[in-house]
Amino acid sequence: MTNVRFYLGLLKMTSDAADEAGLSGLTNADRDVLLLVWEQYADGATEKEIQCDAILEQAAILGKKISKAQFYKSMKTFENLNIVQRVNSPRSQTYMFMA
Amino acid sequence: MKMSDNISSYIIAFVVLFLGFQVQTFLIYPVESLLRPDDYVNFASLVFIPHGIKIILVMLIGPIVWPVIYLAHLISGLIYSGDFTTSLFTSGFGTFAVVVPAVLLNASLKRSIWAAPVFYRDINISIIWTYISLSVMGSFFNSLLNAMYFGIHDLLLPYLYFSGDVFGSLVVFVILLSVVRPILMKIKIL
Repeated sequence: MTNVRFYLGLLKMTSDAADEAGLSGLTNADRDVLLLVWEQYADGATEKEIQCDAILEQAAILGKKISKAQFYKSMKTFENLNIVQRVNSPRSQTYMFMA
Repeated sequence: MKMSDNISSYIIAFVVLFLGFQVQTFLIYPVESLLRPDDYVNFASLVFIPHGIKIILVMLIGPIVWPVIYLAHLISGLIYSGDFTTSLFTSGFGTFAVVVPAVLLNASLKRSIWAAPVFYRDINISIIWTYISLSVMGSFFNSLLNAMYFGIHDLLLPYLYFSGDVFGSLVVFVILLSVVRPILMKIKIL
């Protein structure tokens, strides 16, 4: 797309509308998942394989109830918000933490 | 805004709106023809998505985009209906209906009448409510004008046009948030 103004206008319009509709940003459940995912990178690694079961186990230890569906939904949100990025392939479970 | 930016915006606007009319003709119309038993199906859709696309273009580029809207509507009308007079009038109604509410909004907020609502600098507007307001007001104008043209004595006609425009706008807005937005967030042009 060569027209930056048109692109930015559309981006602003969709982002503002999503904000107003409460569709953007992170929910409380997303924040819980993000914290657990972030802890996987505590050893300084830039890329990590993030296993759903490991995150759910960790959540259970901390007394948090997170479902598998919530985990995958949150990971998709993080990808959309450029917080994490899949490495190697679109279906890879290895993520790079961007933020 | 540079002249080249204007022209490329207009070209994109034309292509997007023209594609909207193709979707209306080749996807929505055949489905409606199968599902609706009434005789109005040939000229009054219950899900008219070009109306929503026009509202988005008016919000993004401003009412100044009216010649593009008129041209895309007219060409689509001429291709698919072949009736020059009807196409000439209905394109005019469809353009007037979306441009006038935006001009009124600009005037009431003391903006340039051609300003694009998305780019208001010193005023914070709700995108969703602006979209809904322009869409409903536009649907109202469009339904009245089309009903006058096709037969004011038919009381059902204005309601069909109004419902079609409002539902079409709703569908476009849902597509905008659920399909277009994720794509935009993945594009890196800066």
